[in-house]
Amino acid sequence: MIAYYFRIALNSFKRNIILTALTIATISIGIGGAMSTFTVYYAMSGDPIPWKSSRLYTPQLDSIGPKARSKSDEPPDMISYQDAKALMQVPVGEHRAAMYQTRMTVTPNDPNQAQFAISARAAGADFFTMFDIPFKSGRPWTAADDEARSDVVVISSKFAERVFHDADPVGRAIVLNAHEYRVLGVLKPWDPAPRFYDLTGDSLAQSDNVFLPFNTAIGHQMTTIGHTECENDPGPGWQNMIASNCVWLQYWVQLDTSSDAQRYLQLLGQYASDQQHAGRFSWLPMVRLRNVRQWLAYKEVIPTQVQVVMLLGFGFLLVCLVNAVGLMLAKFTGRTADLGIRRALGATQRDLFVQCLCETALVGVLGGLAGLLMALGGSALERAIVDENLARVTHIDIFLILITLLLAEFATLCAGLYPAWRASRIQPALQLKI
Amino acid sequence: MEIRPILSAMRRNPIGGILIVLQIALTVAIVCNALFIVQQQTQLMRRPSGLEEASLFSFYNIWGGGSDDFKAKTQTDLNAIREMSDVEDATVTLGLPLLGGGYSFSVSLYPDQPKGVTNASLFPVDTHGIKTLGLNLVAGRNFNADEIRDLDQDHDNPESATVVIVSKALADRLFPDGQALGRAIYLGKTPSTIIGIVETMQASHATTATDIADHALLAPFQWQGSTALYAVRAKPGKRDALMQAIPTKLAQVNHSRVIGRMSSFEDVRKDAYRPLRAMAIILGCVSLMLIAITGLGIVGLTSYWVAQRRRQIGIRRALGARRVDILAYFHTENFLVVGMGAVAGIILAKGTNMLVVEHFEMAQLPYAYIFFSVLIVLLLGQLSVLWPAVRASHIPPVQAIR
Repeated sequence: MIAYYFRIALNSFKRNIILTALTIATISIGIGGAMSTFTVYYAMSGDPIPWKSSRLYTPQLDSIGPKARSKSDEPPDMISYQDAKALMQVPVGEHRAAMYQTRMTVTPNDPNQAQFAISARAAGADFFTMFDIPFKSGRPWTAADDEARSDVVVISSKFAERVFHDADPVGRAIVLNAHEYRVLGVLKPWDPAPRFYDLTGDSLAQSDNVFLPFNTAIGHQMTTIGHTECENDPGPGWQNMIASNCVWLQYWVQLDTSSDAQRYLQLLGQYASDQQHAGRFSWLPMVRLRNVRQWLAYKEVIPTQVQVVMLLGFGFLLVCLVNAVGLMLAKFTGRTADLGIRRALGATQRDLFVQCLCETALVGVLGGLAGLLMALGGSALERAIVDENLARVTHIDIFLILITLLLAEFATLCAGLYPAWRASRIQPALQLKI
Repeated sequence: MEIRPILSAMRRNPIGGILIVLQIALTVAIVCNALFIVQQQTQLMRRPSGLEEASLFSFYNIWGGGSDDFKAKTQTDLNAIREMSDVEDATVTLGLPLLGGGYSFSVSLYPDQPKGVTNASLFPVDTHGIKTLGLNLVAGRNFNADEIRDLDQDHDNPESATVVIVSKALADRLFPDGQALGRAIYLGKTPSTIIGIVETMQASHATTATDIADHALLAPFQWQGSTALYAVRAKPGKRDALMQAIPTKLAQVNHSRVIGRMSSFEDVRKDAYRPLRAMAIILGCVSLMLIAITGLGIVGLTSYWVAQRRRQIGIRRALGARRVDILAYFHTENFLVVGMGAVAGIILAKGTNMLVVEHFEMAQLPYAYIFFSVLIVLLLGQLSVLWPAVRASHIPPVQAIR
């Protein structure tokens, strides 16, 4: 029966081509508009490490005090070197790593090639295992490498291609900051968006090109290119900087159970109040422990504009749907004659309702397909006008395609309920008179 | 024109009218909020940076690994650049308005003020700073050569500046009495005397909250780190040629360096405001499409009404109604329906705006925007109904007896 309804629907499309086309166009424009705003939101609201986001935590503690804090009731987003050192000793947690972003100049082996600068990340040995970063070849450095301040690096695949071209870089030397480093491993493309482990600056920034052991970078006195927040001037020189309360490091820890997390928070609070009693802080201790999801929400990585635009996009869809209701109403009313005949020949009101809904469903499918094209076009236009990093992470995946089609179908069916119901209430006698 | 028959017709078959009312209400609510946001974004994008934007450009200079004595090298670079014939002036700093970088300080009026009065961006510059950036010094004086001190990675403490030049907005915020010149402010524990005031200078980030967006100050330091931002002001019309020539020139001076992110200030501005512009464009497009869709919807529904009422129209014509009466009927009907929608829209627009203001820290919607959107939809309604109404007026009286 349903197949028969769909055949009728196709016939009705042919007979009423303008109204049908208008309905499909309205729905597709609405879906296209709403979905092209949603793609941006989707790109930014994604969980960058879904399988682990509830187990990765970043501890915060207030070492800079009420004057330097940017929020009055929250500790700074980063921690100081001496606190990072102390947190490494906390006995709870599967993996842990302190990290920061720095810059290195690369001297290519080919003397004709110009030097260039790249961003690099200094991180503890657990960085790779904690974030499940995939290796193309080679291996990460070990905790012993880190302790020994070995001059070793792990590089991104893009960087490997740029410097070593086709050759396998593992085991080879590379000159960074006029120092020879040995390449231990090459990563597969790895670019979580948002870059949850370091949200200072652009949260959608690309991940780094070169990774080196945390203590190696500290030993070479490599300064951060991210933010630094201080209560007081730390005084001249590197030693003063790392002995200061200035915050400039990201710190992550993997806590596999909620009782671990509770225990960790307790120890963190204990540590902070010990530091206060030892006279390092003159203010009340303030600590936080947030996992990836809480951290992304706290840092408000989705800009207001993206949210407002998405709201408007769905408002737009609503208007298009109201419009579609009107158009479908007009179409079904134009069909009263043949609906009346079906009714007179024994079809129940329910049959007519289902028949009209089948027709609506077909409109929804076509509207969804056309809407998908509109969304693709719309988000291509969007990519051309938004900033580079947002454009890079915005893409339409299979999930978005499914959502688009389902939303179109669902929305069209909702819009078609009333027109179909009205059409099914037809009085056969009134129609047959003519 | 009788309104009563229109109303009774609508009462008998309200659903079409309700749909139009709903659609108009949503359109009004969305369009006036969208247009208002667009206007606010454009206003933000138009704020002057205070710099001489047309001839200014900047780039990062990163000294090659293992090098030292950045002070002498930087000075040699600056001298070489300033000697070039197309160069107006040049300076070395750590950041620029809209480009980012520099320092962010909480500014106080006395030492150990708990939270400071306000926040401001600090840019270290030498005596060439004001001229290079093209800032308009409205009071006081520029730095003297003997006030310029060294600032490097080991002595990274710009809060020790003894003298500073501040933007007028910052001066007025700190000293509302307008007597900022010669007064002391505190960036750290030691006082810094305001010796000059520039008309406008923006903070380092375009996205900074609007109340501190014009809070900037210059401190007399020559930055000598391994990474520095060079700002160069070209002679009028020479900027692009100079941007080509500078890397070659600097490579001759010293080969062991990397030059990065060379960009004209016009591009810096474009990049800084890209998110705002993108949002304005998207909102503008959505509003236009919305208006178009609503117009088409009215055309569709009115055509349907005309088709439904062919007989009645024929009867009215047979009873002596002129074509213009039929036209007037549909136009009045449309005016009533759209008017009702507009009233609902005003309420909805205000409601939406209240939600937006509450959650997104945006401004109150001015009534001018609501009024303007209502005008747009009323015109749109009249325009959209024109074609179906003309067709209705051409229905011959003979329809009455068919």
